[in-house]
Amino acid sequence: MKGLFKSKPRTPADVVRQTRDLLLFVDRSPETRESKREEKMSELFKNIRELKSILYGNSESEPVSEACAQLTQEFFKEDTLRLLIKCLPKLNLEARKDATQVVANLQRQQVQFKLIASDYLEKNMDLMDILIVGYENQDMALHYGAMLRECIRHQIVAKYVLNSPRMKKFFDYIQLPNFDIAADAAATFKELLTRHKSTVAEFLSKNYEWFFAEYNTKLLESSNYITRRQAVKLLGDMLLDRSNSAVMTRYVSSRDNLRILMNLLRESSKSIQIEAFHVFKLFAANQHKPADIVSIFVANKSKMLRLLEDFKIDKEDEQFEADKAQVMREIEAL
Amino acid sequence: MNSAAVAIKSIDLDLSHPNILWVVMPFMAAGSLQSIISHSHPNGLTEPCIAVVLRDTLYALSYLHGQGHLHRSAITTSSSSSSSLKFTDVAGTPYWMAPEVIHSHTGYSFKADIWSFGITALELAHGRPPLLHLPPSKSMTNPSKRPNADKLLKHPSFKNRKGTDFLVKNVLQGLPSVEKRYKESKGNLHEDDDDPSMQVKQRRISGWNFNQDG
Repeated sequence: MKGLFKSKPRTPADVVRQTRDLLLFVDRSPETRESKREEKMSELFKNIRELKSILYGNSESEPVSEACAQLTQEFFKEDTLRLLIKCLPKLNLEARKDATQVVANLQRQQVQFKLIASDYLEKNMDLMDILIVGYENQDMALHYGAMLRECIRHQIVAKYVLNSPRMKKFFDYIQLPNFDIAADAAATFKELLTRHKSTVAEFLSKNYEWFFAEYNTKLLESSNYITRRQAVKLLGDMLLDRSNSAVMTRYVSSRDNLRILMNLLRESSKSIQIEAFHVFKLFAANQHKPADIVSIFVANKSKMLRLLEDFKIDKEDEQFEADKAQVMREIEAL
Repeated sequence: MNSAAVAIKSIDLDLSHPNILWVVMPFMAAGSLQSIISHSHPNGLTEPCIAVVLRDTLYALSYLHGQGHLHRSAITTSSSSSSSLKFTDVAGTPYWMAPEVIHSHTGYSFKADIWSFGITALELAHGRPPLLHLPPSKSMTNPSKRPNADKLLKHPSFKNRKGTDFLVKNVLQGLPSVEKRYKESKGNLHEDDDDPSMQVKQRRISGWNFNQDG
């Protein structure tokens, strides 16, 4: 008789609901070795894998957009994301990876042309705090970091994180001794400061004093080679973006900033020298140089010209040579 | 076997790792098919040779996809000594990348490798990637319409029983090794190691003067 009532295939919404129920069970039950719990965990792992399969497809089939939309809609109808983030430490490694990929994909899924993930996150910003602090947990950092980097693709979330007190913690996270975690934090930091241009411009203008004080002392003057290199590269990206021209003008009017960039220009690493040059040229090109900056240029004129004369990059780059010639002309004219 | 030649490639992963990553690989003396084609077969290979290369590529893709691996831009290379084709990866090579990898908003799947396979087939036939200014066939930009590697292996073109020995005889015979081909192309340059401009030493700049005049 059982065969007469074949179970209807589960819809994507069914998979989400069952996953949510299982997460609730895992969230509430204490850590014990009882078989029922292990059975539930195993079923949860299968469900998360099923969600991933719906969103990404598999070797047999491509994702179906209607199924993805149904899944997404049900997922954000209730607190599935909160439960998933909260329960992540209790999952095994494969399930954590699958869950991370699910969360990443959901940030890009449209339901009736709307990114409903953004609406959910706007009402649940405390989840971002959990993801950020995840960098302090060695087991969770790379999973939470990947989720966070997808979430800050939403402008409203990036704005929240930039203006959060936890933003300051990134200056420490990107220098953590665990290199994988530090690199992940650096990728998130870069994304925060480059993706949403008007939000970044507003943030940098409003927080200029503390942000660049931290940037200079903790990053550009770090004893860690990797940190210095990443930081001077990102600094160039920020200042050369037209959205940040007001911030750039302010940055290149500071004598302390010029001193730091000139020291980076003397580094033994050619990579750091090249990135430092792209920022240094902005000081030289500034048509409204303050007197104290002019005096530093004058005092070091011959050394600067000699350094730039000998400064050559491996592959031919017309733009670089043109920039260098322009900088040398500006310095000679002082 | 201990004295077997290996290819050592250093990969500067830019900022993603503090050290240079060294990859030790079996040395493919014949080099990449791309360099072989440009050197000895500028108008492409004959159909029977193409079929051998593509069939072996499909076997590799079928195996890798079965293992759950994606190969975002798949290109084959060859060895004259072992008479086997090895499967290599040129990640990020735009000519061979499927459109959904380039526009990777929703992720991609095994079908991305089938796109690269198609481009490689065209290159083997014409001696170069397809003309970039022509729009690709609409149907092939849709991943769901591409067959998978196992389905392609059933195509009559690959029923051919010829093996890689056939390929060695018709493509690699008389072909100079990759080192010799490299030296040939390098010999065309007029670079002079004694050029005085190469002798310029990097003079260290001593410390800056940051003292401000009163």
